[in-house]
Amino acid sequence: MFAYCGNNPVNRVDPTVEAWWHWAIGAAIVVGFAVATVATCGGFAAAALAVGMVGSGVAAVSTGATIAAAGFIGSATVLGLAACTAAMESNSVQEFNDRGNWGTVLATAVGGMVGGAAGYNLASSQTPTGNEPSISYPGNDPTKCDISGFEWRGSGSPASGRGNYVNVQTGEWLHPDLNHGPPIGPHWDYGIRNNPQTFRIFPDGTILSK
Amino acid sequence: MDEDWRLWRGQKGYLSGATLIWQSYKPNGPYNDHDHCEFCMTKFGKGINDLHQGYSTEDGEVWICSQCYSDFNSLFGWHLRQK
Repeated sequence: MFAYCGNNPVNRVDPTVEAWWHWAIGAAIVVGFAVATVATCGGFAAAALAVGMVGSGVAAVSTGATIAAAGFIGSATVLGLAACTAAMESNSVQEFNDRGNWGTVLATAVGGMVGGAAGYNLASSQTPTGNEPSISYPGNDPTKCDISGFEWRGSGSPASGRGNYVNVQTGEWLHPDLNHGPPIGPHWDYGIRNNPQTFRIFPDGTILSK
Repeated sequence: MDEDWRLWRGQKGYLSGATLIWQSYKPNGPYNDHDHCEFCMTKFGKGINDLHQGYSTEDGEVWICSQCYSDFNSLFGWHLRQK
């Protein structure tokens, strides 16, 4: 366990007390993202939940929280890997400390930024823009559409999935996608004739651009 | 041909003359696991019953199965580009 310090963590310390601060700066970056996550989520429990959700590919309660949580994951992953690698390759605390450098700091920061960018993309893909259509969820049975005015057009029955429910009056179409895997999950695809823009309608009524 | 149910969505308005690429299927987004043929809605994905190859637009947003490509190529005037 204490191989990095020659199995003598009490006596074998960094004699110069100078080499550790690169690690400290890296840790400060990670802590910064953690504080931002707690602040944007409104508490420690919510922050922990946000980190778990973002790590699973699901956006947190807000765009800011998603970015902060993803930044925390990115920076902590990079710093953790760097620390583990340095520990395995070091025979003393001083040697471990010396392996921390500006590259470690930069990599941690970049890890946080890349994670934050990924978090932004995740939040954007799962956040309504305000331009979504107004339509209710058509139900959990793919063989029927609970919204009036829609009829099945396809090759075979609705159970085959080869077709759409269409509204010939409005030009709207719906397609059940109720076996879609996580993180997107079950939904209906929705669109309007002549328009390539499509949307997903989720069981809770949320509508997101595809 | 306009009576074909597969053309009901009005694909001619945005796919006429499009450049398509024949390639192995890959999801058009990081959180997506499948897509559907833009015409017949047949599923593209990794499942045993899914289509694993097809024609896609250059941005990978639209996928078209072989049958629909064959049926509508002359109507839409698609250009096929090698990957």
